[in-house]
Amino acid sequence: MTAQLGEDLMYQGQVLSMQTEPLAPFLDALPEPLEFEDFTTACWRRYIGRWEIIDGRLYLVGIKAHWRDGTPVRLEQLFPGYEQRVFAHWFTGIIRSAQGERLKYVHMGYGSTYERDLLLYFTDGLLFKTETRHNTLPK
Amino acid sequence: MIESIAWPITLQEWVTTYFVVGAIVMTALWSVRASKQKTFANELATIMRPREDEGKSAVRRFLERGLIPALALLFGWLVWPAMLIARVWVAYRKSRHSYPWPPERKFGLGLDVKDMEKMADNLFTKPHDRVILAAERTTCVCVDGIESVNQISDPAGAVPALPFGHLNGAWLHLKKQLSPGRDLWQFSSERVGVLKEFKAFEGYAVFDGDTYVDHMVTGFVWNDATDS
Repeated sequence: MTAQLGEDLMYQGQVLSMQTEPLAPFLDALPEPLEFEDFTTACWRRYIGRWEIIDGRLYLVGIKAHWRDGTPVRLEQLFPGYEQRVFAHWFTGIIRSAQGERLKYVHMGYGSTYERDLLLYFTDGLLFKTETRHNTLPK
Repeated sequence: MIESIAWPITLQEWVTTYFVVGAIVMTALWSVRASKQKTFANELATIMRPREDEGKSAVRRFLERGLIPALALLFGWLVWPAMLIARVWVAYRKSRHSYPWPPERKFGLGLDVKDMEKMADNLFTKPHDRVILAAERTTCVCVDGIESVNQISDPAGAVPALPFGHLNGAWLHLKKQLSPGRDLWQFSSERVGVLKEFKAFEGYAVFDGDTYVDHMVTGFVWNDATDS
């Protein structure tokens, strides 16, 4: 499996790449799976979401994907009536954003190691804790 | 008296015609592909190529971006009738399998018990397509209680004021299965995802006695990102 492209996260005025897929639980909860157009082996999930944390809440603010017929996916097709911003209340878990220099490249998933990991802890879409982990390579 | 048959076209002319027509066909196929990609995939590819190429050597980049595509194109030109048939077949298949929105639930139709058991145990089956086992039920619950517990609100108004918020559609679908004699259960399933990205998932399921009917997933227990 090729190394995967991250989702984009706007947090504290910066655009970060995150190695977590907060939309997956929503898609997995749908009664019928959605079929997006495949576009690269570096993005097996077939979409790239743009996220934002505002006042400690996680919002999905955009998505880049295409349906199988080639038409672009719009946010309001996934969330009828919400075309600008969607509160990700379904997400409980930890968002990881790799930062700094890359220490080790792994050609699979989100396996590469970077200098630091910013960890953001969420319950039901609400941020309750942040943490920075400093990584080193084993000698 | 046998006279040599004068073929109207020589072998050399056949070969020339084959490759000239092949070049035209391959150009047409390439153009169709490029026109479909120009809006989305190309845009993404341009953005992502540097990220994809991180950590790759110059030789590997040359192989992936130059040599292999060139060889593939050359091979395609040699067997262009097969390429043309394959492209027509793919277009036909795509036209037969459109994906309407909202999608209609197909699960549960035409599946026998063995199929369902297979799906329940298959690692590659997504959680929403798995079958919840009777042993994974935890608590029998009532609709009103569940709807009041799962009211979602957001000061920015980015969620509908409905039970389960953006997942209300999935909830309504599940509720439809609750005909008389059936029960709503909370469940917790300790079955992992295909990449072990989660170690359990939970939600609500409808059962007819001990027979599974349908379910919705409301949460996952992720493998801790701090372990990765």
